[in-house]
Amino acid sequence: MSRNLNLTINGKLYEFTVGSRLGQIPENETLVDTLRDRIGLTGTKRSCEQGACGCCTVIIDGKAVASCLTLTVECEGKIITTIEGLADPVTGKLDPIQEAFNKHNAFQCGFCTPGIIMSTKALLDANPNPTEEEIKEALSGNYCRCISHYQVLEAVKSIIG
Amino acid sequence: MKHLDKALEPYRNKTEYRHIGKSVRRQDGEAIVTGKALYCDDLYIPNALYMKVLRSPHPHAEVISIDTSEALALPGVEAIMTHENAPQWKTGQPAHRLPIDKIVRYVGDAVAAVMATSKQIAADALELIKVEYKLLPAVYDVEDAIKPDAYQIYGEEYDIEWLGYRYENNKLPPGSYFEHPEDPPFYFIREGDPEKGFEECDAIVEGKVSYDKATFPGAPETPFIAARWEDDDHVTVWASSQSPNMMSRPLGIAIDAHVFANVPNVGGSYGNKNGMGYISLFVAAAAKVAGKPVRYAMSKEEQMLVFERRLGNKFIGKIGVKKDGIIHAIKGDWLVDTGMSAELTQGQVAEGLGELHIAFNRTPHWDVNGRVIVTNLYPVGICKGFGGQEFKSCVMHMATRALKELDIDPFESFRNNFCSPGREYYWRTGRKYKNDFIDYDNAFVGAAEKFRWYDRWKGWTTPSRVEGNKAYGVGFGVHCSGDPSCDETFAYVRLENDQVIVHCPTSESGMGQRLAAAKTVAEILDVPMECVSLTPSNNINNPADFGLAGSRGTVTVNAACGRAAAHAKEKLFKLFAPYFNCDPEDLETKDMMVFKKDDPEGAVHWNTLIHIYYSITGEGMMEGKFSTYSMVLLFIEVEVDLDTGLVKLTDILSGTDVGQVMSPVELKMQLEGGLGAAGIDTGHLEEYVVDTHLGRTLSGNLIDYKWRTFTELPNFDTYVLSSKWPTDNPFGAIGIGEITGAAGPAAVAMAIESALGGYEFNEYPITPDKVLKALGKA
Repeated sequence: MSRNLNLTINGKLYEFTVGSRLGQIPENETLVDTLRDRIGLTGTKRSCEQGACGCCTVIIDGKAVASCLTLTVECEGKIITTIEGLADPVTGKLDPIQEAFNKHNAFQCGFCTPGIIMSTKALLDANPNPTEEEIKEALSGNYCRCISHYQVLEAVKSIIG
Repeated sequence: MKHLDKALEPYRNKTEYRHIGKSVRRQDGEAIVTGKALYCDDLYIPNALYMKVLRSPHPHAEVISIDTSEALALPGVEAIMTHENAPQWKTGQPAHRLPIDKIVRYVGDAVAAVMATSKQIAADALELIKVEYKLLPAVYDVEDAIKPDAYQIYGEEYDIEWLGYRYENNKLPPGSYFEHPEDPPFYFIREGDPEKGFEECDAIVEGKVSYDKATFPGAPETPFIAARWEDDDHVTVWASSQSPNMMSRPLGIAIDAHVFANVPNVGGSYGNKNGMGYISLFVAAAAKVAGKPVRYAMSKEEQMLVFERRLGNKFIGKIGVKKDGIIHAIKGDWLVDTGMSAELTQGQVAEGLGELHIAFNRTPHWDVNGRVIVTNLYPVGICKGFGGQEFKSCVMHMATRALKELDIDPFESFRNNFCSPGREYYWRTGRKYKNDFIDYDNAFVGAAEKFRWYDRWKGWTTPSRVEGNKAYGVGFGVHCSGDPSCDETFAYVRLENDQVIVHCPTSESGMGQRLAAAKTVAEILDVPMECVSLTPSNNINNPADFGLAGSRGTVTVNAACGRAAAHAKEKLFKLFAPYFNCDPEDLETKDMMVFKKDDPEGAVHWNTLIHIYYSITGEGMMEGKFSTYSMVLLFIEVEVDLDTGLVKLTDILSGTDVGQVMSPVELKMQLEGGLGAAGIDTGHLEEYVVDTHLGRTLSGNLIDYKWRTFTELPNFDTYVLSSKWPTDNPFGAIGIGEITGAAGPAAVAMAIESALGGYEFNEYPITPDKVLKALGKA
């Protein structure tokens, strides 16, 4: 038995079936694997796979979510945005957050950056004028071992209020 | 290269540059913020099989039998590697580690590798493999491991007789490839007459300090290797390595093949993903067994539990100080725990000794012996700080006991003991090198002033201040490394059409060295940054380079690229001299236009003579040397909660003198990076918790292992001087990234002890339980 699974990712509809046959999405597949391995959206990074590091953060229905802890089969009907979906799809113009990170070189190895940007995006969509404490709290689930934190805060603060 | 250096001379003396020292966007910046930047696991490798590894649940055991038949029968499983069919290649220092051994030596050691068409199938197959073990005695502590009756983790069959290598008492043979071939191994410093020296001291301390808890370097991107054999002699490898040659050259020797190494963006390394010796050997072996390409991305737990960690160590010894604060005599055993394997631990011993010798440069009497000891803990690899961080966290901390006895300010003492121009120091070869020109004293003075050290340091037994149940203390540490100009780097610079192409295998793992190389070439050719691009990091399109280690990139990469750019410019002017009917020396170039110095109006574009299929190539190189060393000072304030024992870092100042700032934002982030990569935070926060009954690490995941979050950031200040050192960097710069956290643990320990009014801790990290014990509350 198989059933249909429709995912809306970055404004595009992806039609899958759920099942254990070749090409089907098994019940236990996580969203990060679907995004990366099936759709080729590799900007979402696979890292701790325990919801601890935030590298795989995507936005689902407005909230920053660890895609490594999200089952793909639970995403039917939800609006999913990944790092690839932030820039204007027509003009290619970067989201102001992306532009701010780029301008401030607010990354070192850059591996955790997509996740940090997605957490920032979810924060600013819900609260366009956060305090520094609110920014830090919103990013507290994002691991960065190079310690780009201070520069990230500069970048985020540059585009608010 | 000498005439090229002459051409580059004017660049060192400039104070204002077009690109150098300016904040410039990273070339890969847009790709990083849009998610388009490609890291190893983002790459598609046609026909590659996925690999999963069955790992030992036992710390020490012999595999009596292994049955893979059921797993092999699972549809999608294409091959399984065990000790029975794995190639008998060996890696490590000296070569002692097989891809899979019949003996497993730590919890997590490889028992079998399944190669399958999907990750899930490979994972499912692991559960079908049946293994029978015979348990062996295990040892987890270096002091236990060297006891005469301790079980030998490597038996006589691992001895390499012709090299005189024996694994007696679980000690690894000393020496690494760092020594000159004709020199003996460098693992001790013996100088002067320690016994007489101690008699002359005003204070002597004796004891043991342990910085022996395993810690996690912590790259966000887990280690990745893929291997594809092209024929029996050639293998293509994709590696998340910080340095493609440091991975591929030792691998090529170990497997007797030519290795073509490709390194896309690297998701953090901190030195840790440099060599990748065992994992690259393992995947090359698996691909050989499978007869197909194999890709292997470690899980985070594998990275934390079986990949290479920071070394642990203890110093058991005696230090004597004179009343002027000069460390006069030092004697002791430095016991280094390398776990079950050494990637380059002996090299870390050599560098650690050198780093201590730069710091204790006025000490006439030495008898310090480094021993690399194997245990049944998981293996040690490379990590920034590289021996010195761990060693000095013990030795410099022990030395403070004597300073305390004499009531000497630790900052003043460490400043006065530090190597100054004209003095010599040991470095990793075991030879001594002379410091010709580097004087960090201005940085010491300026940084201390900026931190207000003299106001905040109230003596060894008085906190800086106490507010309610919070006590505050300050600590100081200094670290140094003789590596910033070490080893060779070669580069080519091509001028073609309207672009400049730089060939140098420098990878990008976060330090901004590719940006620096592009800046250097753009500065010397006087072109906009967007005209300059670097070839992908690999060892086929690019000439040799040791890699990014020991902060060497700033000097060596930019020296090689700068000289190659100067060489290309020289050839450009030779090409254009007949066109302008003048000498090459009369020409100048800017923005890809060539003109006579006295007639800028008559400028013509490079393309006038560099036709569409024409190329000018300049070559540059830097020969390694050890006569420069980097230095980073750390001043740290801690807040100790007297009720809970919790320690927080509240204020940090990182001070240095980099000669010339190449990229200010990247420099600032490197200094702040001292908080990461098991650096400063190993003083009070980070450690793996190990169950020494079972040999298992209990905190091998990012939930249980403590790391610094956005909500826990101390105030972080920097003090940076630009004294224009005459290094080989064309602009007078020296690198510092490797050591930015290294002085941290000892500085944190000093600060906590000061906050607690002089209580002494001899074991890192100083976690709340230890603080409460000190306070008599636990």
